Amino acid sequence: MKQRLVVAIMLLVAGLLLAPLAQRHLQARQRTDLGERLLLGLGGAGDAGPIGSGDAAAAGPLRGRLAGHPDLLPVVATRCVNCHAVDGSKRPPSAAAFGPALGPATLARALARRGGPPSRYDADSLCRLLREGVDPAWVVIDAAMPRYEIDAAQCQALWARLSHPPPS
Amino acid sequence: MQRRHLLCAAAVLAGATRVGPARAHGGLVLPPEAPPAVRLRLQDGRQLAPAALFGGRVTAVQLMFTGCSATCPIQGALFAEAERLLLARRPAVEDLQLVSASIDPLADDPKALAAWLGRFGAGGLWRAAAPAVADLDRWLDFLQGRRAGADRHTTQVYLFDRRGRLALRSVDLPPAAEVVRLMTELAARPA
Repeated sequence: MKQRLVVAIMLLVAGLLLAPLAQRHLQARQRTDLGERLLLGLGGAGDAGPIGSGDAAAAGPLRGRLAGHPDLLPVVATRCVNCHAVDGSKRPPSAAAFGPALGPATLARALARRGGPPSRYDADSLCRLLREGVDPAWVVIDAAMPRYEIDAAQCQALWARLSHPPPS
Repeated sequence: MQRRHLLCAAAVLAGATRVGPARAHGGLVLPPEAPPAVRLRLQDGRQLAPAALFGGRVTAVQLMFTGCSATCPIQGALFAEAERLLLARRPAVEDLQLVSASIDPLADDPKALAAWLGRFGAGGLWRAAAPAVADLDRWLDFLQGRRAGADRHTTQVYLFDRRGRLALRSVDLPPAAEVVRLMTELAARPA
């Protein structure tokens, strides 16, 4: 009887210790899933359910417009995978050579881009690029890439997915 | 006055493009140039020369191909918005048209061109066409429409006057409202 009680207490303690870890893992997984859906031009609300603030997950696909244009573009024209190959993506790139590939090797490493000095992305600089079209070395990107209306949670989700792609 | 406006707009457009060899050169074409007598196959299967397709209307042409997923969907969206603006004009516009011109005549048959228009909800002012394979080089040479890179074509809009002559090349990816404004000003010019 005493032994059973000890085991039960140990299981309870282990559960209490592991629960936050499991919760963190689940949230990271949900964030990555949301990032994948945003890359594909899908809405945030998927099987993964809400994460963090919940607003990003409930929102639709990323909305974007060309710099200087007043009109929002339809999703068919703003999907990341339209122009970029994405590490770990199951979807074959249809225009891989148009924009740079997206993944840890091209984003998180210090590289010279667009004639600028070597620079590397983090979540904040990825957000700035998506919103304003300015890369980490302060070089303005091509006008053909839309500027996006993206919130902090969506940025974090995209960065989580791009910096830690699933194994192909 | 209208001509001065058009010249000013063209100067702005041309100036905005002088940022490097990768950019298109926009501006007025002086004097306007008649296109070569290439054969253009439309989404309805008809085959017309540019003189027959463009004559009598002010025409905005964009280069694209239906298998392109990068800039072409953006161009399609811009023409969809331009058509929406044109159709909303009162009095109704009858002598303006938009043409998506494919650079891939092997793949872009009338069915593919019709699907392209359908994808963007094109109405009665928007057509799609592809040149005959043997005519592609002459057509692209005339427009100066080649571009290095995956998409292989410029994203400019080419404006033809009512006599079917190339009168203006825009900057890359001009706003829809700007395309409509330039078309309207070109339409107001005496032939």
